[in-house]
Amino acid sequence: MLKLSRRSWLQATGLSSLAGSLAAGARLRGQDAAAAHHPPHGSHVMGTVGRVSPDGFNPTAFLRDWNFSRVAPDARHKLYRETPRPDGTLLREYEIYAADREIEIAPGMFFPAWTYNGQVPGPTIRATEGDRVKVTFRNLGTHPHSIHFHGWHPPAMDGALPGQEVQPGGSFVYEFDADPFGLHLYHCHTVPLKRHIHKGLYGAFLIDPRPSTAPGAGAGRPPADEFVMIMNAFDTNFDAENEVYAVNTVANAYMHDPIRVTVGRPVRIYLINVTEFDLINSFHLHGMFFDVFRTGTSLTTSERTDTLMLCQGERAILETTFRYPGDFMFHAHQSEFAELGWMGLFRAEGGTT
Amino acid sequence: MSIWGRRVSVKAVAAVAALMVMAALLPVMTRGADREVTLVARGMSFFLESDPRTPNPTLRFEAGETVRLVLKNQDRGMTHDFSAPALDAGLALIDWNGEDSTTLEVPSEPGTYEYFCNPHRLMMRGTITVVR
Repeated sequence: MLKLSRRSWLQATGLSSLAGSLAAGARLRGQDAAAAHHPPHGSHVMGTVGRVSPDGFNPTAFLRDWNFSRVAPDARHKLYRETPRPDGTLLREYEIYAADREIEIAPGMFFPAWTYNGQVPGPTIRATEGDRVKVTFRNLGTHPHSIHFHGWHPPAMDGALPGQEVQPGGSFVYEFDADPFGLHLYHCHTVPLKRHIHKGLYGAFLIDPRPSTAPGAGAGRPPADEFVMIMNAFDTNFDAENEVYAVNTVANAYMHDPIRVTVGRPVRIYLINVTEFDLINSFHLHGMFFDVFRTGTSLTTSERTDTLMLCQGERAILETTFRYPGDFMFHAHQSEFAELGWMGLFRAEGGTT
Repeated sequence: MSIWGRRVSVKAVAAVAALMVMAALLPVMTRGADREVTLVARGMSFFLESDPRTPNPTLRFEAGETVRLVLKNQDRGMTHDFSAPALDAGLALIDWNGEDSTTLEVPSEPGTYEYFCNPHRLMMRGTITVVR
């Protein structure tokens, strides 16, 4: 008797292929379960059917949203404040809270998440090298949580050491200098760690180089159309395996709503892997190559490739420019992840073929 | 006796009649609320349904009045409740898109009292002002 896990069911029906799902579903009802593992090759239609509700998290808006830039100014002031300091740097103050929330990760599929500020991934925090970052964290959730930032900081600000978890109803202020420049992340560091991370407590912590101090040209990174992409996945039945994979939470979001880019205009992708339970994740871009800046801590590229592998917690800045108009697929090169939701499209416009 | 040609017992008719009289008297027997206030939970804040722009509003009640409080949870994916310990009032957790109501017996003494959502008390709390 073949054991049918939820994962295999999802692969067979919900998320792999539209044609396959109908056929496989019919076979399942006909008690021919083994056949569900071999959906026909009749269609290349791939991905989820339908859409998540537009009332929830918007993956397209998240791409270009940092320091609460999408929040109306009066409300934004309650979440984020900038204060100039005598040396020309900024004090950047953030209000971050943890709260339980059901989030829609694929059409009709809800996941009981633990969130920062009600969203997964949490809000992107973006500072410039040398700024002072001050994060007031309040735990409105039902479990102890914390924020552990990657970057230079003293142990008291680590959020990971014994006793540094914040109890429900409690709060803590994390304060440190933004250093070094690069692409970092923040996440809950309360045990059991794998549960706290995969439930959704993570976000991007981006530090831009300060032009005057950056090595090399000293001009910082050139202007580009910038996106934050966090590779994540969800274990919906708590068997320590993921059933849904995505970049920025919603399976296949960018297949249905391609990321609009302009031919000839540089693009920069801030790519982070937080995927729990799988050893690695990867990013593959069709029809193009990109320059890699691992951890974003150098302004000199180390690699030019079309496929980049990242361990959990690893991140990289990718830079490229679209030469041709049209649709360019991007996805994990683990085909299984791609077929379970981690696939999207860039749609390049302008220019000529 | 017979009704519409069917034989029924006199006792049954009397019992039905008695129930109908009691149902008619029910609103008189239970005290109705003086008025109704509807709160909406949205974006980790309470709002008055009549004023969707003021988060965690101050609720003004008259001393001794009875208020029917309705809470609608419009906070997608989140559960919220309502608690006003000084008024000995509360609502259990409500799923999103759900609503519940309770009757508040406003104290006869003027004063200010706190209301809040238990899980999100750090962000969802406001004041009840009781005036004479």
